[in-house]
Amino acid sequence: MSLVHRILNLFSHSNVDREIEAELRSHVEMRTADNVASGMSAGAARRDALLRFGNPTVMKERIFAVDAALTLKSIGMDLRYAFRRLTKSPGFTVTTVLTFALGIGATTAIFSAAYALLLRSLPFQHADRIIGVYETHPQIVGGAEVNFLDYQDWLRQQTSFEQMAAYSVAGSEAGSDTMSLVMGDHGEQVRAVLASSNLFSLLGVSPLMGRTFVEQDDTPNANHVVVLSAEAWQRYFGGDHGILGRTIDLNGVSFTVIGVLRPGAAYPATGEFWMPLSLMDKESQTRRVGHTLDVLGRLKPGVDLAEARADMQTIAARLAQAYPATNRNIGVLLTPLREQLVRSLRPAILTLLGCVVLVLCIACANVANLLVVRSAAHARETAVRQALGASRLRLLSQYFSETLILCLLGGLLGTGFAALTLPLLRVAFAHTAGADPSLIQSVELNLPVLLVAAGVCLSTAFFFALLPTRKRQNGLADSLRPSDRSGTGRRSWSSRALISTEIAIAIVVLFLGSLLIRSFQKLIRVDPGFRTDHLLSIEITLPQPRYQYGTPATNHFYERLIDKLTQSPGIVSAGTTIALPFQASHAMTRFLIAGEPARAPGALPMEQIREVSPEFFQAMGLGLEQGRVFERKDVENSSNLIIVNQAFARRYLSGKNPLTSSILMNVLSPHPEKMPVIGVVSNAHDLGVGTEAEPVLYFPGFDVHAVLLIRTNIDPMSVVSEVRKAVRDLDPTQPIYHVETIDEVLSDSLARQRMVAVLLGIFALFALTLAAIGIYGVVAYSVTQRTREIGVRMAVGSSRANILLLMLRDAASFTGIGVLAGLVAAFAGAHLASTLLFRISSADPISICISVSALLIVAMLAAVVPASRAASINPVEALRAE
Amino acid sequence: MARNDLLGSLGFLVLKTLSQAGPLHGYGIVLHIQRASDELLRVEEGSLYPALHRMEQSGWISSEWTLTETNRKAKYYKLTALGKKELQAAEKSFEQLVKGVQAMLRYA
Repeated sequence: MSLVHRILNLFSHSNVDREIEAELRSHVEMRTADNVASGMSAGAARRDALLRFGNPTVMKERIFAVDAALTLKSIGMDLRYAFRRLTKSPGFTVTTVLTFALGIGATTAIFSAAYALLLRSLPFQHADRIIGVYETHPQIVGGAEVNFLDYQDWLRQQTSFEQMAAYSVAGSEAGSDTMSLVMGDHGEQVRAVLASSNLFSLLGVSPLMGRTFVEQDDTPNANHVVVLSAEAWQRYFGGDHGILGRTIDLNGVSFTVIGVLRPGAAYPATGEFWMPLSLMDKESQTRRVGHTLDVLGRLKPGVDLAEARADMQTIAARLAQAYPATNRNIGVLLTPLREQLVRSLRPAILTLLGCVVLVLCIACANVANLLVVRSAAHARETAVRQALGASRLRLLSQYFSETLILCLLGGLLGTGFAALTLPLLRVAFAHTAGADPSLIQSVELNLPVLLVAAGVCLSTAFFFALLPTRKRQNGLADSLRPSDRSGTGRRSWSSRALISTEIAIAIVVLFLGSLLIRSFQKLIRVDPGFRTDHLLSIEITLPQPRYQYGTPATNHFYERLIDKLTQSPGIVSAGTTIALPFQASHAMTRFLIAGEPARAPGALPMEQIREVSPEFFQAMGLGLEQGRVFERKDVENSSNLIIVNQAFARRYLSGKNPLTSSILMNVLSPHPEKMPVIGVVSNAHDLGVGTEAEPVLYFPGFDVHAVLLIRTNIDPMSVVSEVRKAVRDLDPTQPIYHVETIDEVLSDSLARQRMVAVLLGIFALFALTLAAIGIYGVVAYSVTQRTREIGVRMAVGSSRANILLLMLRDAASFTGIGVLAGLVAAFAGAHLASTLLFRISSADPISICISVSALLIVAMLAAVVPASRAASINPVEALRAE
Repeated sequence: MARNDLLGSLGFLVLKTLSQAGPLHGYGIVLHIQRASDELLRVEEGSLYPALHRMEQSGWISSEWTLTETNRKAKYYKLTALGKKELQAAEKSFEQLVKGVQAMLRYA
């Protein structure tokens, strides 16, 4: 309370002052009166009274200090003084603030991404205990979906999880994750999820309206019920509050709406309509062949990931024993939910965060150097003040207010930069297939991010404030002596160490930047195996049950569509397949080359299959190496023919004539089918350009869901209306969706690598710029410090070239040390980032050359400018200067 | 001891004065201490007012402007309840100090 009072007194300074004065005056008057009463003369009485009292001004000050919180006032004064001092040297202020803003801005932006993706808690209950469980197979990279029967066995046998839930985004039809929602006269393709009844309770997600699934919903003869995401409720039903109990038509079957989820609670985040898992096709539910489920488990409290992994592996081994034909090579993979959501972004973000912290370090080192130089310029002023009795605390408070203003201005500006770049960063992340869209939305400047930024600003401000006061220790007398030169040696030693460190860090960032840019260049130079330009992809899902797989209706629809399209101007050819290029088909099959000895159960090879129309190869531009491609009659007759790619032929048919080979399909059923190979086509990088071309089996046929590939000789996007019209001519209610050029698909598939390369390139430029500023500052300072020395040297006969060399040699020594130290650190750093590299060694000599030479050139330029100024000093003036 | 230190001997004397003589202005406190101590203690007038203000900020005494007997305006200080407690504690620890010092002096 008294503190509040004292602070308030600060603002009523004159009132408090007047009262103190009145009190003291009354004291003096009473004493004078008493003195007069005891017989003194009026003048002597007053003098005695005043003498006893001492200096009234000092006294007033002392009393006022008691009454008011003066420390606060002095801080206010310090801040005002610091502000005036800073505006007096705008060059220094602007450089410092911008340098710091650059560092803080980049750090804040990347940290907000790291916070949203790696640190922030997920919107699910006990999210840290939720684990994704996958099945593995030696021929599939990473984890694959889980077989329904395996999942049933897991449910019965596992002991590590409180709950296990499963969902399938494959819809009821393989290859399509959408269903057609028919409303009145028009249809929409909506994203459907089949989910076990406990999926939402496992995630701890409660509905906005109505209810989520209960166990009875997930039984074969239950009523058909559906749960909507909040977004789907808004988009398709306009947020109708009477939606509960309404009947909707999905793929020709009616479902009753029982609940709407809260916004942001959708899982998987792309889902729109959830239906019970029991609606999954019977084939998937009864055979150990198809893998269609995504499985989540919530660990029991106290059970850790390793125990759960051991538990699940035991079960997998048991299943392999019981069902060798299907489960021999099947393992399990457990991934925490967050890993699953963030996937490949984690190493990318950590690398970016590391680099951005390094850039911040360079910025700080620069600011520190600038401050040290500045404090050297103010050394005498400080010494005088110290001699006059300013306490160390007082001086510290003054330096602190100065650096605080600098750091806060820099921090504010930097946060502004970050706020501007965040939308771009979000777009970059959103195009990155690796991460879950729900996490990307939360990349924002929120309270924790701002607190961290403010914390960095304050702690650096405090650290910087300590720098100049530490310097004071080498004696007051030294600083006060005119023409002080004694401190120079030590001071410049420390700033040289600082600048060497800065150069070393810059080398690390430059090296990482050039490694990733070169790696990205290699990636985009990979030949995908076909021309990606002038190629358009459009998806179509025909409504069931009107259309079914392989029925004449389906075949005719697509054949007529393809015929219509190829007659349109601008379209060269059109064909269908089941998955976009650069994306896995999610359809794999076990097979055996006919004539080869039977394999042990579970040892059968497994490869991707794609069902394609005969025109597919022409539209894609895959060259026919041997044999022939499919014909329309192959589709209509449902002939069992196969075309393979070169990678397949090389791996499985080497030494044979592919065209006389046959492949046994359906090998796990009692009656395998023997299918002849009729052609070999060139490879396409179906799993993305970052991976080798994988073997593919092509079958002729049309499914209800198809990816239409259209090769044009004009701008591919300009034929979209033509395609829409052609589709509408065949079926007026049939929608098309996912219209994208293959160039965009390719570019999106490289979005993560591009983002990392671009950001690291930017950071490398930052690092280079900051290092240049730092080198320039140190050399320029040393020139002003040595002006006299240079004058003397010139007077005794040094040529201008000698002076230039003298200054440059100095710069070369600290740059050299920095570069060497930086290279050592760079190799260590690059090793950590090696998972991000594509076909490039983490000790790539070209990247070393690029980064070192870039730094040396910039360092030389930064040093030559002030050094040449030194060389052009007029010796007469230099000697007269002091 | 610690509380005694905080208060200081001048503060102690001021509190004691106000408890003995009732509300007084600064000059009156100087006179009272001088008189009551048989001229043995003399208050440094320069230190008195900062001490008074400090004690007022601590809430041990309160002040009020009133007229003196000679019709002069002066600031009168008065002991508060908090100040009484402070004084009791100070007296106690002062007595202990005196006892302790006397014991030390007797020890031979």
